[in-house]
Amino acid sequence: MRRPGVGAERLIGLFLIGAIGFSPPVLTLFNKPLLVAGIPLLYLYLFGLWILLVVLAGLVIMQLVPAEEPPPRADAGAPTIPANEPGPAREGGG
Amino acid sequence: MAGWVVILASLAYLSLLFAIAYYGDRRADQGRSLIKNPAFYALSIAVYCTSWTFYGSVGRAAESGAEFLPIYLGPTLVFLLGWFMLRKMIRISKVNRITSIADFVGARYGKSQMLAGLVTIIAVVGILPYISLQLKAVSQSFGVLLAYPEVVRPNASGTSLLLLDEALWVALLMAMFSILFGTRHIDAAEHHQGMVAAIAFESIVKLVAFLAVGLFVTFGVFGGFGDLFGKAAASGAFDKLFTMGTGGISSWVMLTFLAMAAIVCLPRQFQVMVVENLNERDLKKAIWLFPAYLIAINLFVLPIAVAGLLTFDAQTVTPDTFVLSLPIHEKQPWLALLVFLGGLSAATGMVIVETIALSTMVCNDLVMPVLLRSRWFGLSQRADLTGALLSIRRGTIVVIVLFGYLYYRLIGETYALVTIGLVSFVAAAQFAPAMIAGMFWKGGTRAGAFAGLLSGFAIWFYTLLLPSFARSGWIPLDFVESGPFGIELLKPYNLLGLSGFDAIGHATFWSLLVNAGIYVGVSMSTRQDAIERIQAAQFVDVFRTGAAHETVFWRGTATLTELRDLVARFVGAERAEQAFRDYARARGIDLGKTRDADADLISFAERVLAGAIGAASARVMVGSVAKGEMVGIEEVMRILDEASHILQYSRQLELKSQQLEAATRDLREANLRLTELDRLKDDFLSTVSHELRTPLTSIRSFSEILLDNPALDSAQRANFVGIIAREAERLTRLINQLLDLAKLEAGRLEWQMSDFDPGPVVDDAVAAVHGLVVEREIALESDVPVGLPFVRADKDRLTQVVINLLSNAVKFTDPEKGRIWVRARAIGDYLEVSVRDNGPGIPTEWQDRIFERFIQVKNRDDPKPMGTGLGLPICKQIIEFFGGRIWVTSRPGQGATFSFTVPLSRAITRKLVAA
Repeated sequence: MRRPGVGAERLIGLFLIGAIGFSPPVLTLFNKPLLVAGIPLLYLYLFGLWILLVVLAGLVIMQLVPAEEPPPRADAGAPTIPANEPGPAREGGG
Repeated sequence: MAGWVVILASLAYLSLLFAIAYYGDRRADQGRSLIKNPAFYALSIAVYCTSWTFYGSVGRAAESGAEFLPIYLGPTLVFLLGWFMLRKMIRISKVNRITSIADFVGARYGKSQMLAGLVTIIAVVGILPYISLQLKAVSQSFGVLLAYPEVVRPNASGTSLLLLDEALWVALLMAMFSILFGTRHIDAAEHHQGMVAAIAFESIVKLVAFLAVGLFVTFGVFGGFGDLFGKAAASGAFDKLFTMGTGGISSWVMLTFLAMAAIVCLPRQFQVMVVENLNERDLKKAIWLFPAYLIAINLFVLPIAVAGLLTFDAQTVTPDTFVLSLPIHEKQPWLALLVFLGGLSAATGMVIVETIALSTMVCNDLVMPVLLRSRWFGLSQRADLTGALLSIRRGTIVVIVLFGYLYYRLIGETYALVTIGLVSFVAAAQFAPAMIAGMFWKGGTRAGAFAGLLSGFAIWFYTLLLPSFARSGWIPLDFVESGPFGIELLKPYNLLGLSGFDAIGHATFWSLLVNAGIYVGVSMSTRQDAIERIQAAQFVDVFRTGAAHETVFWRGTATLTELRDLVARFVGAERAEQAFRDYARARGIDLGKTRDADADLISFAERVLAGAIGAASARVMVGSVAKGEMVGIEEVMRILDEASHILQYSRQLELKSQQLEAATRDLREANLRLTELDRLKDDFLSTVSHELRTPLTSIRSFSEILLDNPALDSAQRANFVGIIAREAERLTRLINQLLDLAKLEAGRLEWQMSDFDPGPVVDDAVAAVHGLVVEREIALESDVPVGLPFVRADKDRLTQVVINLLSNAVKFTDPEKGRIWVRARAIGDYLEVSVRDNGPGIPTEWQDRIFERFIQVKNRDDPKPMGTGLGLPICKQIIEFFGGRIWVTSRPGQGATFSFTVPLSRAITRKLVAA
């Protein structure tokens, strides 16, 4: 079985790839007045990376293991933890 | 194109929108939500794409190439983090019943009314330019479309008479829509399902329209991407569009950053993403579907911009209207109309959601607090306030839309669409430090958030809004050009001499830097009070605590009636009653018997109220009926501390108990197996004793007869001795087999595995039973081909199995005309040997059990056992050791066929090699 949490970590990885891939230093590599397959190189790169990120995000998010999903909420809004006993009974903890 | 056609089409479109929203609301009322599908959620988030995207992106691309893209890359990046950030926002908002961004910030910092009010003011002032952008885009496109088949520049708006200005009518229509579907009733969760359905529909319309014009221009007018870009490249004037200049690089970062902030901080995005979210799981789909939508709607921006520049002279046609001008130029009236409707849907979607979000904020966080405090208004005594709440919201919507219109008339002409929008983005981004840090850092204080927001807003006002007034001629322009009072360092576009950015980048840098810096700095040097501390823990630890543990801190009492009346005044009697009933049912308590509300119930009531009037006002209102007080800050710290310790312990305990449970389960299973084995052993022992006793008894009785009657005649004597010998032999056989079986089961038997031809083995076995067969006059047919492939087995044991099956067949075959068939075949990877007889057969219910120990099918005529009951179990053990299978097929009365398989040597070798 996969380690729980790994899917979520993959999403962070995708974010980092995107943040770096769309950053100016990397963009300058493709910032050339060239047409590749009839399309400006810069746009080819930008849209290519963009589409790749979204496809990968889709694949990762669809197979998040159940443990990473939020538990179903029976009664949204109302507190579900029973009230702890307040007051002087709680001495000396912590 | 005739004006009435355009107006009729627009009205028809808006009516369709009304119909969808109405239907959506009705379905929601019936409890059959129309927007259950998560795709609706993702599409409603696409309200992010407004006229700015629809018309403005092309304009921006025509001017500075790729710079239109960061506005969409930023949200994509945020959505990649959505599973952490957006989900947390949604969870916090659901737990605390937060209904707007002002509420969110206010609630985080100790349910502060001041802070919520400040956020509201910033939001309203900041968003006005954005609303005006939509009005400008609609009125521009209307003007351009009206001139069909001419291609014209849009009219300046200020020239037409007020009542003839279509933008005003559009504005009022949008306000009407917002009122109808955004303020139908006070909903404790602020869900507007009809509106969401309509917005999702609008997202589809604008995407389809934009793709249609993109495809038409790229493939209809030009010969595809290659042709279009090739022509552009050939003209040589497009290098600046296809690459980024150095200025573009620096603003690229700023714009990406700005868009990342905007996607979470814009009031309408918060409304659709967080408030209207029905189920946290819907986020899963939106995480990829929304960015995919952004890609789709941006795919043709550059082609349209390039085509526009190739077709028109930039002086005669504004790039902002290329999307519409191109179909007009190509004489495509219907496409032009579709584009106009697409733009209209982009604009209406934005204005509707934005005004609903803003009206909630203005009502809950600006107007209500004032009204609730002012005694002369008598609000605090009035019975039912739901009407008042709705009126305030409706009024707010109209006022906001009209202000947006005013901004458009006064300022709108000076700027391109995207620039106007970006001004709003910078304003909204001011919420980012307080919001994002507030979700992950407990240390942020109310004072820090307030100071940060205020300073960021002030810088925005000074560096973006004031200069826009100046450029429109409302205040002297030298304020921008040489600074106020000629102080160069205070020039709004070059604050402290900072240069190298455009106006937006400059304002973003300064406002966010100062905002975040002051937020952190002040937070670190001020202390939180009790409720701030509680709320901070509540927000940051929302996934750990799950729900509020606030009840621990609030020691108040109130009577149930007071509480119920209070809630009813703001949400209506019926809804209040429903809420309390649900609460009682969820807790399994009977509210009829309760007189005093406990802390838990008070907290619940506050939450319900918060949904209607905001967290801060709700706190004030509940405070007015509940007598009691917050616990002190020291105790709050102690309890929070303790709670986190307890949480940690309980998580460890949970882990331990899970491990224990697993261990217990294993042990229980092992125990069950042991008990079963024990029982089997007992059965076995008793059966064995029984089986041994039968021959022993007969041996003893016959030997006693012989002993007691020496006078028996020799024939009888011989008979008795014969019986004794046979029984002794049976006894020996039984014991031998028992030993064999015991060895087999214990795995102590020595096996001599080898590869050999099975044919001779079968023949040997047949020969071994030959004597018996002849004696009983049985016809035995042996069908064993020569040259069978080798098998891997123990030769002697295999012979034993075949002999056993054969002697069984001899025993059970028809006594009169007994026939036995032996057959051996190589089938696939196995050798299959079968032995068939024509005896009475084996009843179906016995066929499975026949291979168990001591199971014998009793002969009806002769109850005397014919075997030991151990032969077949031994065969089974042997065959299974070889890796084969043994089974029986039989129809009662038509004989039985015992078959077994043994793996062929070549199959085993192949498997070994493969492994």
